[in-house]
Amino acid sequence: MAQTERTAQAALIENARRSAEQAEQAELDATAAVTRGRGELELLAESLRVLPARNRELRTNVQLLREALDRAKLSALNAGLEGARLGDPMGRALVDLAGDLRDLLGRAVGTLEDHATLLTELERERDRVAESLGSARSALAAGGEALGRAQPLRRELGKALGELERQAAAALGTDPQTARLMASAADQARTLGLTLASLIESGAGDAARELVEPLHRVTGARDSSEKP
Amino acid sequence: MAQRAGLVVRGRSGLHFIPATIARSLVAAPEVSPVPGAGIGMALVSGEVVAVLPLGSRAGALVVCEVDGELVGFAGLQPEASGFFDEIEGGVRFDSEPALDLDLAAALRNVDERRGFSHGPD
Repeated sequence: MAQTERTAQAALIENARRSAEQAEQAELDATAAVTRGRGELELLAESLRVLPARNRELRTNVQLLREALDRAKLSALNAGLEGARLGDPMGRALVDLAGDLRDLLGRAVGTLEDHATLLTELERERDRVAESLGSARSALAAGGEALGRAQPLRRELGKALGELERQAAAALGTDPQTARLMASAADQARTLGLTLASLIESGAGDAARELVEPLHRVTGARDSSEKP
Repeated sequence: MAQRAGLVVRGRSGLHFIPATIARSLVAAPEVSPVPGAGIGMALVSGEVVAVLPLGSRAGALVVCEVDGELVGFAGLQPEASGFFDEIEGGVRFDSEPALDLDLAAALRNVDERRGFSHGPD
């Protein structure tokens, strides 16, 4: 097998090994993300389960407040009626006070009505969130299933890669990584030899010649045809 | 402008005025027991049993009035305001809207006529 082929094969196997490692890491990350997502969704679901009871409590409070305000309004109207019976000017102050009180209570009732409307909107929002939560759960479950199917495939891939490495090591006489490193070193040595040869030819001196001999021994052992 | 003292309520046909000499008090709608065949009900108000006459469909307070010396509760009216109001012909003005006098005695007579009773000497 030519040196360049061995180098290419070793590089391919090395790349495949790195990709397999990255795939394993990605799978671990995805599993952790799915687990985290499930936990978060459960917390969200628990919060949503509690919301209707909270909403009922708030509605009860709103109803109690409304009744209290209605009673207070009646009291203000009764006070105004008493003032009216006293006549003008004796009852004027009482009538004015009762009128102011009635206006304030009327505004409070209006605000309470707004709260009741908001509560209704919140209930609708909760229902929408609950629907979305159901969809998110389904999507996450599908993701988990897909991940579950990918795990044995990734294990099979790892096994196949290991077998490929073993076979490559047998064919190359060494493991793919070492073979690739040695091939790369030989390439660089050849390039250096050519450079030194051109230096000698251009009269660069004895120092370069001294380096060429040991270099020839390295490159010549691998590919004698490229001796400079 | 002359003013009249009393209570403005909202009924089936708009705003009405009840003079302070007739309107005694407003109470939260009590439980009313219907009287069969009479078109009225009875309720306990401040320890007293009073006849309750429905004058509208609005839920809310009971307007307790003194009509011909009797305490009568009128249900289905929504009290709007109490105090002094500008007088207009046949009633008062409230928030630039006319509130006509509510003839409670006539309403009571109508019920009595349906029951076959009569008030006072013929």
